[in-house]
Amino acid sequence: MRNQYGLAIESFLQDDYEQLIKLAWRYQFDDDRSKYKRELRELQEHASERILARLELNG
Amino acid sequence: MSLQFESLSLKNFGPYRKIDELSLRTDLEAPIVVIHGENTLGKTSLFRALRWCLYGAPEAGKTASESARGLTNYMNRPAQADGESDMQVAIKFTADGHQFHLTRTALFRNDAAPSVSADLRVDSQVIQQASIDVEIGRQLHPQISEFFLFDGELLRDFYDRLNSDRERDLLKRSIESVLGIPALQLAARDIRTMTDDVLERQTKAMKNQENAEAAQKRLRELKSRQESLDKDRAEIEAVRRKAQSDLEDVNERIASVEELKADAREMEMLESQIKGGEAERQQVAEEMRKLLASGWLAPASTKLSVVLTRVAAKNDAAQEKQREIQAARGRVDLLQKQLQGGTCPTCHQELPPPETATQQELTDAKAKLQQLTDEAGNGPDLPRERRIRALIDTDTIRTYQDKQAQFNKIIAAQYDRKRRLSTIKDRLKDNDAAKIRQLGRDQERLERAIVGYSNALRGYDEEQVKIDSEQKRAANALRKLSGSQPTLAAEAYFFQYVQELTNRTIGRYRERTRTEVERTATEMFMKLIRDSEGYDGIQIGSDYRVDLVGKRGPAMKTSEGGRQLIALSLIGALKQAAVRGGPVVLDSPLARLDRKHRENVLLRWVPELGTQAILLVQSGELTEQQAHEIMGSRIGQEYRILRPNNDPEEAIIERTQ
Repeated sequence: MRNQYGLAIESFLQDDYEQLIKLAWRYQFDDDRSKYKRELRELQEHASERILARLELNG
Repeated sequence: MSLQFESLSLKNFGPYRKIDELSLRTDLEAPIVVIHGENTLGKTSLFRALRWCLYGAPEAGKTASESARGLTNYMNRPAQADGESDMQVAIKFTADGHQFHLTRTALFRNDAAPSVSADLRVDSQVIQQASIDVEIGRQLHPQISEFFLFDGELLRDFYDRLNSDRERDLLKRSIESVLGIPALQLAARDIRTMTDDVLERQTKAMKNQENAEAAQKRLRELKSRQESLDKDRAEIEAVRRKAQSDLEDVNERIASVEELKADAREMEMLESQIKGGEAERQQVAEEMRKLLASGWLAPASTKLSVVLTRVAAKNDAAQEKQREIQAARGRVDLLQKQLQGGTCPTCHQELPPPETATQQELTDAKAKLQQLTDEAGNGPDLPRERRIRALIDTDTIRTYQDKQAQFNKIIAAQYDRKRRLSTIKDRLKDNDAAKIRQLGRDQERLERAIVGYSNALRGYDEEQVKIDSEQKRAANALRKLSGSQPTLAAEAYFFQYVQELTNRTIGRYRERTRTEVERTATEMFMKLIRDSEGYDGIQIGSDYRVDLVGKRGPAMKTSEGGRQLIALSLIGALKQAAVRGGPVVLDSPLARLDRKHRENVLLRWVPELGTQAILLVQSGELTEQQAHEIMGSRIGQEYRILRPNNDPEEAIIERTQ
């Protein structure tokens, strides 16, 4: 995974992983997936900020 | 906390007209509910009532809409014959610390499909119709229920179904539902969609890269144009500032010329005033000279005033004496007339006759008159007094003084005018008309130059507006095309990574739960089988194909009872690995088992099911006595189904103890 995704992988925290699983779990019975997608998007935005910040630091 | 049934109520369902709150409450010490009923009495109806209430479909593997028309078969026929048209099942259960009350009602009219409605209250709060299935699914999903609301018929086929290609996928999905894998699969599906979306946007962004580079080039050109413009403008501004400064200087000088012109006008006015002032001075001087000539006696007026005072006093005294003489003469005349008799000349009354004293008085009066006449001398000299008074001149001095003041004023004004005239003449002497004309020409030239420079700068402003506009357009284009690319890249990175992560998680989780289920199922099978010698265990494949493993390897042959034990072992293992706890309801699970294996199931398997197991059994598999002997105090509730009127379409349920 590290070879494939490089240094930015370190921007993805254990909390993010746990949040990812929690979201999947929380909305597993929801036919309407919009809430799940919205919260996943929020997670992505936070992670993206960290990824960008890290890339700038490394760059 | 897992789901736990509290009670079941039925109205006109199957053979049951009315069951009010059949208690299903259990606890850890007594987790088992046993419902005894011989074949055809109505065990399966109870089981299906439970299913229908939860999912709208009495039978496993069918949807609510698929089951709608067949519901008529469940409507209690005696009730229907009595004109009743509604069928209802209500379940009370607890889950996650909340109290649920679910009621499902079917109304039958004519031969059409019944109208079915559901009512769910969670802690007395009414749940919207559209959310009921989701909410029930959240607590006990229909796919999960396949293993825990278990029909004996299904159990019989379970082993074969697991190992048949036709149904394996369905069961696999159900098993994975029990294990919670669909949660991750759903998430993975959404993540894939979102990944596709971001990759699509990224592809589009890459296509735009060329445009972005063109926009960047354009921006560079505009920047160069801007620098050139700034340089030209700075030069023009410098020249304009110089011209402005020169103009200000010229204007200042012209302003001073204007002042000189004003000075000249003032000089003319002063010269005229000086001339007029001189004439006025001469006139006043002449008047003063005349006053001096005519008023020569004026300086003697003081002494003449003293003399006049003295003469006037003397005349006043003389006049007083004259008045006394006049009075004395009047007295003499009166006395003489008294002596002569007659009437009073004054009042014309008869005078009294003369007395002796009157003669004396006359003599005295004459003497006094004589004395007064002697003392009076020549009397007052009024002409002299008039002459002296005429000689006294007070006007001339005052007039002269006024003239003197006027003269002084004229002299002062003339002096001031002459001084100002002298200053103005000094100022004017260095400026001639040629110089002033040159200044006017310079002013005109500079003003024209400044207008020219200002126009040139306005031209630059127009150019600046064009550059700004183009810059803005190029920057906007660039922002749209490439400005968000790092963000887009991070987003794509996230979703690709998360997709990979989720897929790996699903794989790892699936393998972990499969291993766990395999181990637990093997342990359970070993507990259930009469003699475990010769069995190595149960093997569960990645597709959940179940295989009995013996000393000679997998694919070990077994009896129908053995297969049922394998199915029960798998169900028990799934129950333990299930992501959500809940009751297990088994309809005739022991039918194919001999007594020893039934005991094993009841003693070793049922306790593994958690806090609630509901067994619907017939006496062929478990009598009431056997139930007490085997499970004893672990039975929390026990009922028996009866046919009260020997009518196969009627059934009642009663507590056994």
